[in-house]
Amino acid sequence: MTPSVGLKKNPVASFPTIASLITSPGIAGIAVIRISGSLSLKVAKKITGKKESFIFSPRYAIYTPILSSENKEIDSAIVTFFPSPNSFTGEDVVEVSCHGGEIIASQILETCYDFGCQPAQRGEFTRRAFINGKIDLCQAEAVADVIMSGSTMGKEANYRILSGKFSKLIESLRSTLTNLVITIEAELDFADDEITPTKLDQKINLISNVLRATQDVLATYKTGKMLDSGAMVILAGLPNAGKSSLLNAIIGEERAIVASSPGTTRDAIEVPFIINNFPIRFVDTAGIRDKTSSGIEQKGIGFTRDYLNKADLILNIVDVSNKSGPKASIFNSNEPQTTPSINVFNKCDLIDSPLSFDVNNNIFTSALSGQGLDILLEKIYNTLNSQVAISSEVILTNQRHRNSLIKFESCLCSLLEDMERELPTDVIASELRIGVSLLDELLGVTTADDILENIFSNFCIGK
Amino acid sequence: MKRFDVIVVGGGHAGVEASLSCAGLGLSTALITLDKSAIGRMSCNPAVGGLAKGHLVREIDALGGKMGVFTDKAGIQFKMLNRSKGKAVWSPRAQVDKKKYEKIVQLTVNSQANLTVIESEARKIISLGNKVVGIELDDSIKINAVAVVLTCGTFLNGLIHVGRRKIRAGRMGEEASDGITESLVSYGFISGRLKTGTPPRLRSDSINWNKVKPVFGDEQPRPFSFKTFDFSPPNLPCHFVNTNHCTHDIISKHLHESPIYCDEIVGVGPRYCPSIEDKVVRFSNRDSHHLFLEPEWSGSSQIYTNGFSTSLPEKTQLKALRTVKGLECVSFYRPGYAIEYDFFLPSQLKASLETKDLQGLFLAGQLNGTSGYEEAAAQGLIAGINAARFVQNEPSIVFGRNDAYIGVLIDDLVTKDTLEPYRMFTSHAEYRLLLRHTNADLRLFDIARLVGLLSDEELSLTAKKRSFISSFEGDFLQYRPSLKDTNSLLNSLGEKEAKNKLSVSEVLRRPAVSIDDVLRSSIISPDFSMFSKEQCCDLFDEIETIVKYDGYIDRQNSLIKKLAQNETLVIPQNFDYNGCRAISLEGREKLSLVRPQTIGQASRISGVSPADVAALSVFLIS
Repeated sequence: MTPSVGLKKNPVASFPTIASLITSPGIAGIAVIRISGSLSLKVAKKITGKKESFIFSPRYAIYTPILSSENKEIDSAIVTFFPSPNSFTGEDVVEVSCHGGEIIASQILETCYDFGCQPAQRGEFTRRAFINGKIDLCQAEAVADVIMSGSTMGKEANYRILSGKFSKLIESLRSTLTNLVITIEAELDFADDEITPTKLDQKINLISNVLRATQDVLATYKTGKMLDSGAMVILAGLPNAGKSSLLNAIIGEERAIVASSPGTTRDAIEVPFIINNFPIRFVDTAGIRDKTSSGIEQKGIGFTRDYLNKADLILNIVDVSNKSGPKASIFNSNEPQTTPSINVFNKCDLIDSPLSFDVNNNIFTSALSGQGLDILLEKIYNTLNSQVAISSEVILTNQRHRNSLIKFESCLCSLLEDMERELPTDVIASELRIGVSLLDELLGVTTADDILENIFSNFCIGK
Repeated sequence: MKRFDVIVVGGGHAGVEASLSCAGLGLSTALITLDKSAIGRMSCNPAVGGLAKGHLVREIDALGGKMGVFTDKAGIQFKMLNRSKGKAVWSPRAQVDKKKYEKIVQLTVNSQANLTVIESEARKIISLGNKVVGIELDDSIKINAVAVVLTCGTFLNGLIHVGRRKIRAGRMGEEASDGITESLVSYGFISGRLKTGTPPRLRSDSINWNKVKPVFGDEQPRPFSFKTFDFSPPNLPCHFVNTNHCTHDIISKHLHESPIYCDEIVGVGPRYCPSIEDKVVRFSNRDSHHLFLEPEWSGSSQIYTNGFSTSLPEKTQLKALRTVKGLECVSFYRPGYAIEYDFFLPSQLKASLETKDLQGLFLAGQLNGTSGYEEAAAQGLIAGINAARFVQNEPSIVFGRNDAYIGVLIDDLVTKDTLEPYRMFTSHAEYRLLLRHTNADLRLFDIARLVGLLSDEELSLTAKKRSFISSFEGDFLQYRPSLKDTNSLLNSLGEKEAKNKLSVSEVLRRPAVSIDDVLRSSIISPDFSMFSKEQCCDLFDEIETIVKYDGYIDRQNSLIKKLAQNETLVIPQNFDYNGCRAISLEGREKLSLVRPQTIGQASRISGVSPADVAALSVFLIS
């Protein structure tokens, strides 16, 4: 068969050669640059000052100086050549492992661009891998999720998706729905004397069950999110309760600016942290007080309120040394408190005698001496761990999956409404098919043309 | 040597529509048939239309085809099916006087200008390069043409089975046709084998009519054709009877005599039209099946046994039927039989029904693996129109799946290889809510005008209907009657009272309110006097559906928009799928075999996954 006009038989040749940094930018021991495309070998020879006749052995790492286009030595690096199709993208690939830091890598990249490479678009290496048949769409998605998982527990949740438990659940919902589609389509395609219509109650029941199952899965998203991107733990309290000092003490690093004057922290500061493999994002917030003269601080307090709404756990930090008695006034007593919280009585190094609080629900800490920090961390871990539905079969972590399921949920709701209003069968059927197609989209499968197939095996119809 | 613009081979329902449309468009046309007196014959059931098939007939009519007109004239009982299931799936059906039908068809064919009927057998397709140039007949006579439409139905290597007895024939009592299959195969076309069946024909005077129940048609019959007025057809009854466990016992005991159950038939039969043997075996839990006794013509002495298609030996058929109440003494005019025939895999066709490999050659009807008069007629019409356009050097007409059931039918045929005779079902149509029988003329108006088979007068009927509906939507439906009037209407129908003034369209959206209710109350009084009673029925249904299905119709429309790009993204015919490694191996195989014309077509081929389609699009765009 002859290739058609404008399309070369070898798809690999039809894209420009690209080069980009594939490790994250910033201070690090080494940085890796990937060059992919038909020019990569030529560029490799140029930047290493090798002769045209030099042979890069496939997948053989060589240690070599890297030269700029003006022949100035930039760095010494390890260069490896992966010939097509046995490379990540399926094209000729050269990988350069150079010294870290942003300057060296960008100098080498500039040189690559001088020799005809183009900067890679976001995700372009993966896209080429996909186009060249190295990976499929779902793999690309799952791989990305596993790479992005912030912790071993998050990885575990994503692995459950990879291992197919999620798909199995969705498939079972889909098959329930498809069976209903089959029943209804048969009613539309064959006269009443050929098949007996199913009762409306039965249909409504089926849809309600699917809806419930969908809502159960959706409810695990909070857990999934927590495991995937870290549970959000907010340090909140009155100004100058020592929230920032406490955060610095926990992470053992000066991340938050501390000062003795109240209202120092205005922006919320997020710090990732892991307790027993459980990913956490600590958020240090502006202290909440009603009267402040500073507009900026006022804004900071607004941010705090937003964070409190999103929090998975609130640490209510109280200055135990406060002369007028410890207060825990960050919560608006009018609103029911649904987010779990821990009362943390900080600055306990400043008081002499123990207080008469119930120790079980309260933690005493000193940011200064480190007293009580271990107990606090353990309490945080236990509280969060008791909230996560880690035991449930499927945990939703992926935003796309969630969006699809939310759409599916609302489709089912309007379907039920329509059924209760006794809308005609043709409308119901078309709504139902939209529902099935949403699950198909989620699973990434073709809508099997098997509806009639099933009608024939389930019903006795025909003249 | 004779020359024509178009040669149509076959005088069945596909051939009739094809030849009438070509001749109607002014092209010199030859219709080659084995038997002039069999033109337009209804070889199986005495009925036209039915679920989804009724839609096809309405669409054929809207485009200037004839099946609807013929049926309106020859019908003896008319019924709207699916009345309880939503107006988009309402579908007209008619019992037809077969004799009258074929007479009307033949009259029309014989009086059609530009059309010559040749009674002979086509043996061979003649070509020059990759272009068809004519047909060689039985007696080695050659006739030339620019385009050829083949509509040979079940006649290609037809083999009839009655029990273990085999008869080579096209239909019972008519000769089979040889040569064309071999001729097509010699051009590289791939053929397959299918099976269909027909039930026994009973002697009317052998039936105890007192023991069977009559079924009549609608009291207010509605015609198929948009051009039929003053419609008052007869309303003759059919009758129904039930099989029982004795019937089933006999069939089970004699299964070994059925050629289907001893592997003598290689062709695949339609599952939606199972033989009585199939029903007994596959649905052994049912102790009774309906059989309809349908008169084959008005005052017919010959009765069609709808539901008893079989290939058992004649004796067994008789024995089984005689267990049925009312048929104790029944005797036959002719037993039921199964017939095997050749068909050509329709994925070898373009959406215009022209073959991909031989220019100017069009295939239509049962030859493409479909079953049913309506499916055949629809293809015949489109093949005829496109053959004419081929001769006139005009671009062919292709229907989208959202335009018409005809579009769904042809798209399914060319993208999915049928494993059994293809029958039109509403579930094949994903945009079912848009494809109503009442708006076939409206949605096909632009295409019909382009085709040119309808007269200006006929087209103006549709134009009038269209502008009436749009002014009705903008005017009457927006009107807000007094709260008192609205509530008295709502009350009378058991609907909750309104608190504020509602527009007529909001009133009509209430589930219990129909357009008839609205018109009967005097909240609006539009003037329908320019429309006939038949047109009014369609109009009322249309308006009610537009209002009640509003959001749902919008949703389908937005889906169409979303997918529209796929339909316009053309794949080069010689595209090398094997060079596109991102496509799965199975996808590459299927795509190479079918050679879809657009990304849209590619996405509907079974075995081609969305990831394959994504890869293909990325590849075509980049």
